[in-house]
Amino acid sequence: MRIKVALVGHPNVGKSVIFNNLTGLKAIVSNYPGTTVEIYEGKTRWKDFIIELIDTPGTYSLVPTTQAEEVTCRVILEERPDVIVHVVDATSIRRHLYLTLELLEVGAPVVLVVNQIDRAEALGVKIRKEELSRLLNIPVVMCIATKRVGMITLLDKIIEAYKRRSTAYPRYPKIIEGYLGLIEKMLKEELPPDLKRFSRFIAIHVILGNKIFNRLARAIPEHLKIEFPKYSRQIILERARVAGEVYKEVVSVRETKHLKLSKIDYISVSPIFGVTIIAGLTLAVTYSLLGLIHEIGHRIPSMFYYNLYEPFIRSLIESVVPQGLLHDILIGEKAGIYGSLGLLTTGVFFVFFMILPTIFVLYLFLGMLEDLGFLPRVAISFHRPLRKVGLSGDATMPLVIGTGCSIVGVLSTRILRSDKERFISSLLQVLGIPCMAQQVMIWYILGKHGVLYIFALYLLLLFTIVTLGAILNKIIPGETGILLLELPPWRKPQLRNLLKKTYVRMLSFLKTGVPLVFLGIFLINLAYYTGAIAMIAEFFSPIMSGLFRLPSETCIALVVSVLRKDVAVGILGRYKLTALQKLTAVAIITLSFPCVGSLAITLSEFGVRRTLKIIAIMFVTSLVVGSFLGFLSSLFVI
Amino acid sequence: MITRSLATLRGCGIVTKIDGSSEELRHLVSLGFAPRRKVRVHVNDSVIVVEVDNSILVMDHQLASKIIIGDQYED
Repeated sequence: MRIKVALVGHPNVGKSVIFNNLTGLKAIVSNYPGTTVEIYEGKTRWKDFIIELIDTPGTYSLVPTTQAEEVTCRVILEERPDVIVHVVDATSIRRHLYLTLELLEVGAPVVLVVNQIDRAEALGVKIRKEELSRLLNIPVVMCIATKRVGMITLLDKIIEAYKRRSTAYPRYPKIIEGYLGLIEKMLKEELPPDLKRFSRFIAIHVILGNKIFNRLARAIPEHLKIEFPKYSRQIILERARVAGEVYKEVVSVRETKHLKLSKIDYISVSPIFGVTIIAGLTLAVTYSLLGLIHEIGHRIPSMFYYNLYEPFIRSLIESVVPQGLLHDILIGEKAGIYGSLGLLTTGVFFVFFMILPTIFVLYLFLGMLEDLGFLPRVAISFHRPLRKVGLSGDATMPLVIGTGCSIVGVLSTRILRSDKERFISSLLQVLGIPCMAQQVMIWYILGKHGVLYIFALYLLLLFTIVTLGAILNKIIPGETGILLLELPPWRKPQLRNLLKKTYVRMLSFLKTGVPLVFLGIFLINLAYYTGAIAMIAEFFSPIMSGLFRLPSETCIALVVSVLRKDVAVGILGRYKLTALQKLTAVAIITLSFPCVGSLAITLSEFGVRRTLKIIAIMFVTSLVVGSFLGFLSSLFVI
Repeated sequence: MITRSLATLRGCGIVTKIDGSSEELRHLVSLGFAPRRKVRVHVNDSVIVVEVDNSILVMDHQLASKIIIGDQYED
């Protein structure tokens, strides 16, 4: 027999750890609120049941303020779980009880999991489990997810709740119940048969203004709708009152211990020092690491590639495949990474000897910062400067993730509250933040001319995105999101979780990025062979040589950038360019067009119209920046 | 009782009401800012760092101004 279970709770309460404990699957465990934007599903067998678990994004309420929270609400309504497991933090249980009451209104059996009881005990917080269970009329499980304590009891309680199938609606005072009954009755006529059992829940959410039910709200006559704000306030305050009462009955605190902020917390909230120190620290650590990776993660594998792999694969292919199209596609016309574009030579080198070792170390590092709880602190520091470009501190995380891969970065913008913020944040990432794979290639190609050129490029990109962001902030209507972040306690990263997270991200790159790298190399090789590249070069020649002062054949790199920007930067190594020309070409590759992966994700997140706007903005920006750099190239030969 | 908003609070206080729209009320209550809850401001500078129910939350002044504090007390 199957039981469908949804894991619901605030961000950072340990849902993903419980999910991992029960299913063994790789869900991302993170310290930053809302990281688990995607839904993770897994199964476990217990007794005679197959328990199907859905790990939902962290949410504070079932009335969503972000897309990630909306996903949780939709999972409950569309997936119709048999049991809802609400995971709460024992140290701050009162805040979580509001959501418990909301979940009880859904009408499905709920199991309450009180996690981190060890931390609560250390803070002097004692929770009477039986009393809590009696008051809410639901099973309660005490657990320490990181130590796997309470997992078996949880599985037993899920089955118990499923068998019992009892639901416990909280009742409101008479006046609210009367109004609620009226709305419920009217909505019941509008609801499809399968949603009729949720009529009370939906009626409450229509009153609360949950945008998911906007269409249904239209069915309510104006004279009743006018009362929504009044009853909405009453419902919210009543829930808070009940949560407070339950808390008083079941929780005793030995002595009030206030939390302490660390020195970094104080620094991060300081307006000038915060940005300077945190940005400096982040950049210094990230780029010294990048430099180190370039040496260790690239040079050592390169030695292996040049001395062992390439001679072996070249002699093997040459012994069985005669000169011709297939030979060139597999190993290229001649030896060397940039001398030709063979799938088994250049393709393998790019992916396995250059990009993968680098992103492994960087994802590991980024994951460690997340798990430590460092990234939310960065968000606070950057709140003020980001407001100038129409973003809030919350946008820091998607922007940082965007330096890894803009596909994941654009997806992460779902945690942002305003639509304007989502659009600007996504556009700036796709336009001006090179992904990690591209950065590796930038360091390789531009680094030959000195670190100065790399910094010049980053400064140029920073100036471009700040200017563009400020313009967009002025012209796009709508509010910039407010800053509201929960600051998680500093935590020691768990190696197991860290490796799992890195593994999931690497796997995602292998699945989405690697095929595109090979496809890009294959198509370009083919275009070379058929002469198509020469035609494209001729077409773009006026812009490339006239405006950007680049040899017309470099437009090949521009064409490739549609598929993979890292490959596009890499093949610049084929041409004899001055340092300034390389800088120009890299800037244009970065700014001109989203790579195919980013394009797909932008289309799915923003639709065709707004994606076309993004493309148009990128095209114009690259023309302006490219022309400026081209002008510099005409003045200086460096 | 002198009331003030969380945006101007330094030290400890008790929430008396939440101003603003029902959407803002819903959002703040779900995070723990309900009437009669004790709050403690750790930092009141460019942003507000506030403790409520053993959790630390960071918000801007705009949102903090919706949280009305009645009694203040020494900790």
